[in-house]
Amino acid sequence: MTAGHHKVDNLIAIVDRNDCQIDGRTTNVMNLEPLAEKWKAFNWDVFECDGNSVNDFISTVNNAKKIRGKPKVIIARTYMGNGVSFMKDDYKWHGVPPNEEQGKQALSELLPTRYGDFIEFGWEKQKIEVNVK
Amino acid sequence: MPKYEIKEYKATRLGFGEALVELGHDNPNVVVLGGDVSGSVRTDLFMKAFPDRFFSVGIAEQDMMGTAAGLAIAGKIPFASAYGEFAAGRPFDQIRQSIAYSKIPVKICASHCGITVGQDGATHQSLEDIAIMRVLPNMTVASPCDYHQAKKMVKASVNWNHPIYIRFFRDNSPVFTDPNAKFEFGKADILIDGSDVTIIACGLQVWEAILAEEILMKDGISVRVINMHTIKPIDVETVLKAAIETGAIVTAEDHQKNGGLGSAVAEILSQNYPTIQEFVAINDTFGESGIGDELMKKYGIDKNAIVKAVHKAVNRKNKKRS
Repeated sequence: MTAGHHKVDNLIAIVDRNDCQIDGRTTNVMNLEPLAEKWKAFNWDVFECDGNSVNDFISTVNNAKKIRGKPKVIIARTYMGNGVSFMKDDYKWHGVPPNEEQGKQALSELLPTRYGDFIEFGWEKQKIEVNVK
Repeated sequence: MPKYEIKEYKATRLGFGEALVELGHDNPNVVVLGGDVSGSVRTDLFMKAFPDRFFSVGIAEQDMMGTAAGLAIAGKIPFASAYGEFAAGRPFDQIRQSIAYSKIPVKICASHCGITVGQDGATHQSLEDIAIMRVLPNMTVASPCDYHQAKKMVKASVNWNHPIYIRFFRDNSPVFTDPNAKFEFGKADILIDGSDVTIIACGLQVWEAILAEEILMKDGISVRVINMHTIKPIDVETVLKAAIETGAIVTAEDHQKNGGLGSAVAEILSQNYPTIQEFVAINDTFGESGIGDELMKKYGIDKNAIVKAVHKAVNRKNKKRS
C-alpha cells in the first residue's frame, strides 16, 4: 500500500509462487487466488513468469525495470524442489532436511541442471564449483 | 522547596518535534515517518518544514517499521513515530526481524506513553513498551525526564548507531533540567546526592522523585535521586555505586512492574550486589480513562507512592542491620 501510494518504482517484489506451505498446498490451506488482482488492487504493476527458467525470469525483470511510476511485482511460478526428482512439488519437504543419502542424490541431480542454467549466462564454471564428497 | 526549580511546563513530545526540525536543517538525510498521528506526536513541525522528507504510512505501523528499515539501508536517517502502544506493541515482529535482528539504526519514537496519557484509556496507555523493547538484542531503550532532555536525546540519537526506542509523554510536564547540561546515552544523571536510600526513576517519575526527596528530607532521610534516562544499556556502575553506598533502592516508572526499569535494576543488583529494592510501577493491571495526575495517584506512581516505598525500603534496610 505504501509502495503504491509513494510510487516507489525502483522496487521489484518477487513472489515465489510454488503453491506450497507447511500444511499443504496453499490452494487447499488458504487459497491466495486471484493473487495478481490483489497486488493490482494495491497499485502494483504485475508480471508473471516461469520462475524455474532463468531465461524467462531475467527477461521479465528487464521488462519490469522499464515501467515507471509504480512498484512492480513478479509472480514467479515455480516448483518447490525443482530439479530433484523425489522432492519436486512436494510440500512435505518444506521443513525436512534430507538425510545423507538423499542429500547426495539431490546434489547429483541438481548440479548438472544448475550448471546448465548458469553457463547459459556466461558464468564461469569455477565460480560456482560446489564441493561434493 | 524542591532542589530543582520548574522553569516552565512543556511536553517531552514537543522536545521531540522541535529537535526533528533542527536535525532536518543540519542533515539532509534525516527523514520522518508517521502513522496518521503527526499532529499528536508533533512530527507535524517537521512535515511543514520538510514536506518531501516526511512519509505518512497511514494507520499501518507494521509497514512503517519495514519502510523505515529500508530507508536506513538506503542511507537515510529514519525516525518512525507513533503512540507507544502502536510503535512497540503492534509492530513488534517487524521491529524484531527488520530492525533489531538486522541491526538497522532506525529511531523508533513513541509518544503518549504511560498511564498519564489519561483520557485515551487503557487501549492507548502503553505500559509494556519498555519491557518488550528492552528484551530485544541490539535495541537501546531511553526515556527523557523533561522537554530539554527529550530534545538533546533526539539530537544525540543521530550519532547513536544502534536501533533505538525513545519514550515520550503527552502531557505538559515540569521543565527543570539545564538546557546546557551534558547528555550521553547510557550515562545516568545523579540529580540529588544522598546516603540512606536511592530513587532510580525514568520519565515523568524523575520529577515525582525530586518532590518525594523534599518530603523525605523533612523526615530525616537522605535520598539520592538518579535519572535513569537510558534503560538499556543501563548504567551498571551508577546502579551498583548507589547500592553499595546507600544500601536500599526504590525504582519509579510509568510502566508495568514486570519487565520495566525496576526489573532492569533488579537484574543488575541480584547478579552483582543483592540489595533491598522497592518498585513504584503499575502493578500488573491495565489502566483506565482519567486525568493523568489522578491516574498517577490511583495507580500508585506519584510522589506519595514513592515516599511510601522509600519508607518501606529504609525500614527493611534497618531491620536487616539490627
